[in-house]
Amino acid sequence: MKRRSAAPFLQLSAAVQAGPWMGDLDDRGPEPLGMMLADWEYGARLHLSRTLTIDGDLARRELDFGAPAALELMVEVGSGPGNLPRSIVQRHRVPISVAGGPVGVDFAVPSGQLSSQLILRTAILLSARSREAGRLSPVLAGSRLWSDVETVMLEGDDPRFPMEVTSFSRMFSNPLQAEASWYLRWNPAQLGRDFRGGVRLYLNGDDPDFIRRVQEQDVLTLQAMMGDVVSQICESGLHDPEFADLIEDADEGTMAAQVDYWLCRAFGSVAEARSAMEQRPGDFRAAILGSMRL
Amino acid sequence: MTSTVVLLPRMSVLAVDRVLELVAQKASPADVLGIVDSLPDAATFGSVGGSPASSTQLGQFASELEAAARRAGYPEDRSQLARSKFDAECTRVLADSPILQSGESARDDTWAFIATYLLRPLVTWRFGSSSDRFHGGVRNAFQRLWMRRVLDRGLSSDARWELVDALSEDAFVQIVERPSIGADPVLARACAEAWLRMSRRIGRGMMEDVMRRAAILVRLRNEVLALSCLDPDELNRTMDEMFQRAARELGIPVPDDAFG
Repeated sequence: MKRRSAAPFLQLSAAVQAGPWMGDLDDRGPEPLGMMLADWEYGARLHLSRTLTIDGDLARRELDFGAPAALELMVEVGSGPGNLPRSIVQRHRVPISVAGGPVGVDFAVPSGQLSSQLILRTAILLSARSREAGRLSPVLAGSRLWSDVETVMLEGDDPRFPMEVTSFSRMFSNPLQAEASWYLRWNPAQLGRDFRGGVRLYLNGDDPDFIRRVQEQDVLTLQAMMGDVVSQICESGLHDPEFADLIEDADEGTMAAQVDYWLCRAFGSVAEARSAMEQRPGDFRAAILGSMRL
Repeated sequence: MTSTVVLLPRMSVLAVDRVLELVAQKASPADVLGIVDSLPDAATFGSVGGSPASSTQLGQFASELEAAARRAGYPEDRSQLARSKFDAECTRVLADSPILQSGESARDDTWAFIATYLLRPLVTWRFGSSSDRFHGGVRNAFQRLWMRRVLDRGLSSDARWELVDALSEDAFVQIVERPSIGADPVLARACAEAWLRMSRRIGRGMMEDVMRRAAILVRLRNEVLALSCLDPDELNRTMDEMFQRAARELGIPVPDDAFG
C-alpha cells in the first residue's frame, strides 16, 4: 500500500545495505525469519538480531551533508493481529558511527507479550544535524532517513485476506444464506479500523467443490469472489457521506485506506469511482471485477 | 523467571452472532449458555502455551468488574455520568488485572468472550443491544477500555489516571483507537497530555475538531519524524505546536499562543 506522505528532505537509499532478520527460537541457533515462526508459543525463548551496513561517504552525499552527522538505528518491536501493530512491545536504539560501517541489534523478545504477529520496524534516524547541510538536507533530530518493515506470523494460518472455512448450514438459520458459496463478515460503520481485523471471509465448507477450487486458486473462482467482496466494501464506502474525510483521516492499513487503494487502482481516483458507481453501475462492477484479475 | 501466561477463552464471531440472536429472541439463559456446547468452536482456548484460566480466575475477574460497575451505579443508574464513571472505573481494574498481562489481551476473540459470555449484563447496561459492543474490536465494551491503559502515568505518579478521567470520548477515539498513535504508549501519552493542556486553555467544548485535526498532524509528522524518540520536553513542545496549529487552522483563538 502506498505511503501518502513524502519526506520534505533527502533520505538514504543505496547507502544502506540491510541484512536479514535472524531469529533464534529456544536456542536452536539463528535462522533467517520467514513468513511464519513455526513452533512459537508464549513460553518460547526468542532472540532476534539484524545487521545493517552504512556506507558513510555515500550517506553524506545522499543527504547532502558537507560534514558527518550523527545517525542512529532504531528498531520497534510490535505485535498483535491486523495490518498495524496493536502495541509496540520494545524499542531499541543504537548509535551509528559517523564513519558508517556495520551496525546491528541483538535482543531477546518476551514471547508472553506477543500475539498473532511480530512486526519489526527498522529505521535510521538523524540524531544531530550536520555542521554543513544542504538546502534539502534533514536537520531535525529524529528525522526518518530510511525504514523497512518485516512481518512474521506467530500463530494461526491467517492468509493475507482473512478467511475461514465453515459449514453454512450450521452458521445460518436462513436456508437461502446457507446456499451461498461465501459470506463476508464486516461492519460498514468501522471503515476506520485495521483491515485484517475488520473483515473475515467465510467459505462454505458444505460445498467441497467450491473449497477445492479456492485451494487450487482457480482464477475465475477467485476473481468472482474477490470482485464481490471488494465491490461490497467499496460501494459501502462510496455511499458513506463522510468517506472523503475518512480517507484523509485514515491510517495506513485501515479499511478506508484499503478502499482508497482499490478504487484508485480500478478508476484512478475516488471521484471517478463514485461517478461510475452512480451513473454507470455496470461499468463500475466490471472495472472492480477486472482489477481483481491483475 | 518467566511467569506462565494465563490462556483466556476465545469466542468466534459466529458464536457471538448466535448468542446475540438468541438473546434478541429472548431465549432462556440455558439456551444461551447451550450455544457454547452446540457450536464446537464457540468458546475455545489457544494452543500456544500457557495454562487455561481457571473458573476461579475468571470468576474473580468478573467479580472485580461487576464491583467496579456497581461503584459507578450499575444496575439502577443509567445516566451518562454513571456510564462515564463505569468507563473510568473499569479501565483501572482492567489495567491491573493479572490475567490480562500477556498477548492474550491483544486478541479480539478474547474480548468477544468477555463481553458476550462473561459480562453480558454489564455491556447491555452500558450500551444496550448494539452488537459491535459485544464483538471483538475497538468498539468492544471492555476492549476499548483496556486500550486506554496506554494513558496510565504509572504507579509513581500522584495522578496516575488523570488522563483517563479527563479525556473526552472523542479524544479517546482519536488517540487510543487510532493504531498509528495508540499502539505507541509514549506517543499516545504525549498526545493526551497535550490535549489536556490545550483543553485548559480553550475549554473542553472546543476540543473535538481541534483533536481530530491535531491527530492528523501528529500522524503525518510521525511519518517523517520519529516523535517518540524526541526528548520529553521537545516532544511536549512539538505536540503543543501541533495542537495550536490545529486550533489556528480551525480559526479558534488560543490564549497565550506561543506559536501563533
